[in-house]
Amino acid sequence: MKNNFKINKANNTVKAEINLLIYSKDAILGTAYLFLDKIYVFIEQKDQDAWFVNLKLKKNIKETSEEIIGEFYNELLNQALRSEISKQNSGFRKYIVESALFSAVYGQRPEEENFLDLGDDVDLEDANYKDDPLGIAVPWENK
Amino acid sequence: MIKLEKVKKKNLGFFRYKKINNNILLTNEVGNFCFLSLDDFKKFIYGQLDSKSKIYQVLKNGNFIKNKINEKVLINDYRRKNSFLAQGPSLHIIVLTKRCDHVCTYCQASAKINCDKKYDMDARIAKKTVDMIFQTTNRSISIEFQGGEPLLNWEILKFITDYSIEKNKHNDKDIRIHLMSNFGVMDQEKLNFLAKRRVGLSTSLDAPEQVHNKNRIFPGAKNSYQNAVKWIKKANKIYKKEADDCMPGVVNTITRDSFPFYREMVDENLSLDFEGVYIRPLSPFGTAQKTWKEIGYTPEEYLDYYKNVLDYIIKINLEKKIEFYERGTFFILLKILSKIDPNDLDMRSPCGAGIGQLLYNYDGKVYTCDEGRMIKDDTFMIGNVDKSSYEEMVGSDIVKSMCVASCLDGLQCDRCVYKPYCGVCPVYNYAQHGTLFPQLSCNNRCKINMGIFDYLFKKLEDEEVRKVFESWVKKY
Repeated sequence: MKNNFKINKANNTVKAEINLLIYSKDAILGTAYLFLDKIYVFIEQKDQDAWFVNLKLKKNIKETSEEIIGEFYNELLNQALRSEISKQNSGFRKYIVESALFSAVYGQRPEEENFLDLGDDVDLEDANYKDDPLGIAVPWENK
Repeated sequence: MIKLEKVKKKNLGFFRYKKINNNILLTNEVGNFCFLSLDDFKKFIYGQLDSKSKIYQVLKNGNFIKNKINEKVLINDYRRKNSFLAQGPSLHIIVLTKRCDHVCTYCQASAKINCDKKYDMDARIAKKTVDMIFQTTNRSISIEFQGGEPLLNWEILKFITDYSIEKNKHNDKDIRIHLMSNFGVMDQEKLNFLAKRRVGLSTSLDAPEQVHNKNRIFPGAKNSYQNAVKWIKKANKIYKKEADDCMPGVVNTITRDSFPFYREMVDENLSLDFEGVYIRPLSPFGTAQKTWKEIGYTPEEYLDYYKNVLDYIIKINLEKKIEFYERGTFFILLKILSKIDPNDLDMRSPCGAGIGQLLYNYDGKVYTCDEGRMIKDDTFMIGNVDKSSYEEMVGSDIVKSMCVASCLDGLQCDRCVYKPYCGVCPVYNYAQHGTLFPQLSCNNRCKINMGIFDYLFKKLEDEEVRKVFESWVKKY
């Protein structure tokens, strides 16, 4: 399949083969969702490493099939990056939300800004509890 | 073209992004934002930015760089931006009557013309409604009279106003009362009563005159526009003396007929001493559903109009050195440019239905929100002041469903760069698509919001315009 997609102008359809080793399922579904006002989407599994994504253009769409599939692949790249950033930060995001809600429930006042520079070499995602990069285990009187 | 294999994922704090003009807009969970050139964006995600560069400092201060994150600031900002979550309903809309003296082409409330008083709230329901309102957990209470035309049930309006003020002497709430009226049956006695009790006023003005009178028909050959303008002027005068902290406001509902007259609309609002305009697109509720072919439009057409209005307002601000705004835009800019959330109930996550606002109908039925009562069936009814307790209503499955349906973290919106500033309306979704969980890519409200955000962020790249926007926000 040239360029990993095939356009059928007579039917206004495009069949794209998407490599799951490059793009996560989350990224593919996220991309397809964004195009729902312009296309009908039919997804099928090719094999363990690939999906076929079949796009059928809706009526009265201004863009051509070539433009739609080009935009689809561009967005796929965006969604892949978004998906990765989201995955990498999921724990920290959860921590921020929980801390904010917890402090609100127990009536703590918003604290003064206090810059916490952990240094370039500290990675919160990889840290385990023994590393204690946030100094949580340090008694307050020793801080 | 981004090369995924080169991305240093572990250096990146959480952010969403989108290409705006030739730059990349980045936003994060607390609404911080910055623009990067494509080149800088690539350097950022590939971990190649010079840590001494200005752009690195901007990213660091905005908490976009993972190992430079100021955790306490993020937590405080998140908490401040979502403080409404712990407060409970503050907006309490009372539909005093379903009767109206106007026949508007877009009436979302499906008001009744020339009917008897069976559609009026009676004193017993009114008292129970106020008693229910005072059970809210929120320290602030904003009572808003709506209809139909609320002034047609004047005795009950007076009763609720005085009873609420009296009741508050023992409750110590921060109470505000507001009237939405077309001023069709306004008179000096009523206006004096309202001003004396600091009841805020809002009216519809679909300027210019020919558009207003086409949209808002006042049977009996009366000129609705001239009548509204007459009472706006009188109200401005008396409120300046007696209640200058709650000066009259305006709502400008936009139909297809409004499109050519955006300058006239702005000029007329300016000449009437309003602080700004408040343009509202039509929603697919009530009469507007039936008249959509004649007066409705596509999201793209509305956005063209919106941009014309905003460009013109910005021009006026720059030329006349005044702060005159578009109210909806002002709320959005507060979210973007400040650390405050204005608690705009339609534009928050989750939306205000049942947890930020309640609507009390003339017959005692209680709905999740203003929009909820506009749906023909009772899908969004959560109780009755006669039979239900406050806890039953606010804790009902319907309210929980509304929260789930409008919490952006669980929707596709979680991927959108504008998520920190936006909100969905489940009732709108139900009206347009027949479900609380529609395909948002096909949703007209989403398209309009997206277009407005695109426009505003493009404008924010212009220093001169940004100063205008900042001057509006500083007034808050």
